[in-house]
Amino acid sequence: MAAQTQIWWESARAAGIVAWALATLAVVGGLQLSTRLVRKPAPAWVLDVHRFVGGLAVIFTLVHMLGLLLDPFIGYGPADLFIPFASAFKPTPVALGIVAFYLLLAVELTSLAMRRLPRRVWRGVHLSSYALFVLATVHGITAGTDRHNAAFQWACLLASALVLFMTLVRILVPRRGSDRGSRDRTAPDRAATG
Amino acid sequence: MTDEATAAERAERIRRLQERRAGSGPRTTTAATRSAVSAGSAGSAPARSAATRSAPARASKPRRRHPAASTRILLAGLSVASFLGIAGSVALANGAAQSAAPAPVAATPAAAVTPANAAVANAPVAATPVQAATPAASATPAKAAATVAPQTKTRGS
Repeated sequence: MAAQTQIWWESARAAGIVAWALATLAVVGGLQLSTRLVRKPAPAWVLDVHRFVGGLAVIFTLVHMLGLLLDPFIGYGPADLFIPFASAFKPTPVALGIVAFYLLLAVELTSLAMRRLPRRVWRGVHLSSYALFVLATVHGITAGTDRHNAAFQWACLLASALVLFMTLVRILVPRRGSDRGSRDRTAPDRAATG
Repeated sequence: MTDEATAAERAERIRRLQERRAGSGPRTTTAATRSAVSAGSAGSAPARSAATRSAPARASKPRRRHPAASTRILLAGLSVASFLGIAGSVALANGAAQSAAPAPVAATPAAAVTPANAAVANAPVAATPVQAATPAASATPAKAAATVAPQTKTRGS
């Protein structure tokens, strides 16, 4: 009986980890698109995978929240899941996760409506993916039950290092052909998204 | 003169529209549309009929497979497999922890009570938000631990 009631709890934990990994992969894919750090995968292919992984991250985040909602032990209600600091259990780490969820939702929805939005609006919302990654990672480290797991700690460390490195490359390294190719670089984004 | 110019302009506009609509379709469709439009002086009726004619041809053509389709399937499968794998390993670890836990703890609830909540151990269960009974259970809300879960239930592994 206890094992049955813990199914939702275990699902929530597993879905949270998978959602974090997928969000990280989406961020890395986006950084690869903008930095072209690795030449081999075609940008259109990377873009498609980037979008698909983002969608999967949203789905697994919803599964994570559904698991928390249905778990009878933790006793979460909709307010605990959607309103920051409403939860009695670790209010700040849980609030970070809620804000990360809203950012993920905003990034995904603006990407789906990209063609109907001004480029600057889409770009501004899309840049919040960095904050989303940081918030989700801190949420996992501080609120997650698996934060003491060595594999999870290593995954967090490696993912953070990779994202930091690619972000620094994006900021510091001048873009190739920036004098002539700025339109070419953004063209696949426009063509394949929306 | 003006009527002729207007008709030509209209035909040209329709031709562009048809070209734009048939952008992803076969080239022959565009060519057929163009010839149909140029043949008719009014323009709209032949263009429409050409578009209607080309529709079955477009439907019969097999859709080109997306270059990242296999990657999508692979990623989705990997995600679901990871989800099931993590959930399964967590469940196994929980089961192992519960079976490895000393039986007297379950048999005598008083033994599981820590000094922190020893004072409220004899109080009504739902009366006060006590701390979780075990260190592992401290990862869950205290209110739920007090109202729903038995004192020996553990979370986390």
